[in-house]
Amino acid sequence: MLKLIRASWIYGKGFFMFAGIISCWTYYYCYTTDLESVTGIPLFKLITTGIGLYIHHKRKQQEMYFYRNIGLTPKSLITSVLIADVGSWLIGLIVLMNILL
Amino acid sequence: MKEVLKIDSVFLEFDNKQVLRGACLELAKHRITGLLGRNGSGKSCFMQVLTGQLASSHKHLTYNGRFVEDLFKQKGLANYLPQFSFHPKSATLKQLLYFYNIPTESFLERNPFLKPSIAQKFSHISGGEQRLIEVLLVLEADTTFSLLDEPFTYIMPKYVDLIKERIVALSSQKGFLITDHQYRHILELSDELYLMDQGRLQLVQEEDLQEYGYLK
Repeated sequence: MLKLIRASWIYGKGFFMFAGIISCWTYYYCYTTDLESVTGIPLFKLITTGIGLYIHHKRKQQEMYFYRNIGLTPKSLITSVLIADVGSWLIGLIVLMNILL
Repeated sequence: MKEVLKIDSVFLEFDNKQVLRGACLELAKHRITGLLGRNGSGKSCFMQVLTGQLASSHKHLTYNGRFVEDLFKQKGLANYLPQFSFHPKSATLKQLLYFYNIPTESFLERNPFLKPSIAQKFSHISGGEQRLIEVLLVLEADTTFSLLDEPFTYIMPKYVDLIKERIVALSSQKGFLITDHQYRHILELSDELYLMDQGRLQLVQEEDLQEYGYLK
């Protein structure tokens, strides 16, 4: 499990930077806009995450041989990166909503 | 019991051009198997089919008689060295040793010249040294088989000898499939020799290589 977390961090580094910027933008949008008009934000986050991760994975294609050599599948890496990104985004959003409401 | 990895009936085609036409090969633990062939004969494609990176129209892979769907799904069965650099550039040698479960101390004891590179990011290490590290990591990792695609390319002669020594030493623990255009090293190391010819693999002897047009 620890190996998966460490490998996912190495695999996802570039993507986490992109996802972090998107997350910060969604928080800023939620903070500055009426709460009724932020319903599209989760969809926006999911779409940008999907596209970002797809491009990131394509760029990392050659490294997949390394991850497979150490017993990790592309599926397990993508899943753990997704959980880390969407999970941390959700926690941030809940905290923000609690502050705003 | 003899541990054997067998792949047969490998068919592969690109744009109606048949690259592999029923290629078959058998790897055994403690044996070094060499794979030779002309440029573009399909050696690397065969390696990629074997490791599941390339989808073939047909292949049958067994380990000790049992069907294997994916070589990597069975933990510790095999690892693979592709022709190109494939390790994350942001990782250090120390991190890579951790991922491959190779004890750092013993690795550095065997390869003291790599001590200065241990904490360096992979991207900060020279290309030749990167390749050498990649070869050594795949060799030293604890798997039953190692598949090596051009392990001697981009490596200086002194380290080629080191790699050959390690392959011979580690053949007491695992089986190897090696392909490289520096055929003399393959001839020197191999217990069995296969030649890729017209999409098929022929089990050959050194003296057959001229007959098949591989050597002058």
